[in-house]
Amino acid sequence: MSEGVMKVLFTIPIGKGIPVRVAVVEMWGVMAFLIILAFYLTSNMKLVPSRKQVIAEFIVDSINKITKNFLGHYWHIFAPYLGTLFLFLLGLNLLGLIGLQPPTSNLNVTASFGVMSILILIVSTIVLKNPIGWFLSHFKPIPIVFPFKFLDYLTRILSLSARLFGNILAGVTVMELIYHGLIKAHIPPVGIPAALSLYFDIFDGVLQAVIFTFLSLIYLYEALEE
Amino acid sequence: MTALAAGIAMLAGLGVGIGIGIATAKAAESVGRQPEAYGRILPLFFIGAALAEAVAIYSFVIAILLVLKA
Repeated sequence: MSEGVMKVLFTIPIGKGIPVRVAVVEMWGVMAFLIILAFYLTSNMKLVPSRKQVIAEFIVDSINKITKNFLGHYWHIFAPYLGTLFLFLLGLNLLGLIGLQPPTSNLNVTASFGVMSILILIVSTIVLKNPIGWFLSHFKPIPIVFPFKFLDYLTRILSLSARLFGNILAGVTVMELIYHGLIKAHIPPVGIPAALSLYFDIFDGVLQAVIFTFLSLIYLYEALEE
Repeated sequence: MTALAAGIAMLAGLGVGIGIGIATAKAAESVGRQPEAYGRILPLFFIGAALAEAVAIYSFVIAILLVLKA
């Protein structure tokens, strides 16, 4: 449990050797699944959609509609990033269903997601708004407020990443405790873990993926509105 | 003793739970008053809930640090 997803699986023999950990391999798996799914759903598209094309159109349309609602005419820049982030996090959080430990139960993985979202926020506000205005906005309404405005970025990274990490780790821990307790009490672990897994794995995983994406979207909406 | 300290740190969840509950109640009430303002209320509610939840997350991080240090 203490090592978990950071166990070194194998090392790539380049230089001193690059350790490849379990979390990285799981993320490669989810990436490969998403890429294959995208190619499968969008192969030979027609004007009259088949069943798989309807699924693809539904996913893309719903993401586009939500981003259009919030970001106005900047939506086409951020819709691909936000959609990919949501699908990727969903895949990672639901890995607990097939007996693997989700990589998002490690703070290193979620911190990278948080840093990525805030970096996109900062870079896009500098590029899409004028850089001088962006810099001066840290000194409004009075100059003394600058350190707090700067600290706000770090706070957002910490809260985004720690929220995802804490929730997923709590779910994983509770499920482990249930399995061990049932085995210790000589009750066959059938039925009871399934009902609890509905909440701790599926509901919690989907909810945290939605919240992470939605908060990234709302931070962008706050920064970009006129 | 570190386990006890981690437990005390998680007491921050009391206030956060009550706060997010009140925020949700007010959001639901305002949607009931003006259903067409739903699109404006939702981001405000999410920002408020995120800011409130940050406190609980700080306490959770401290508890994790205390437990894993031992």
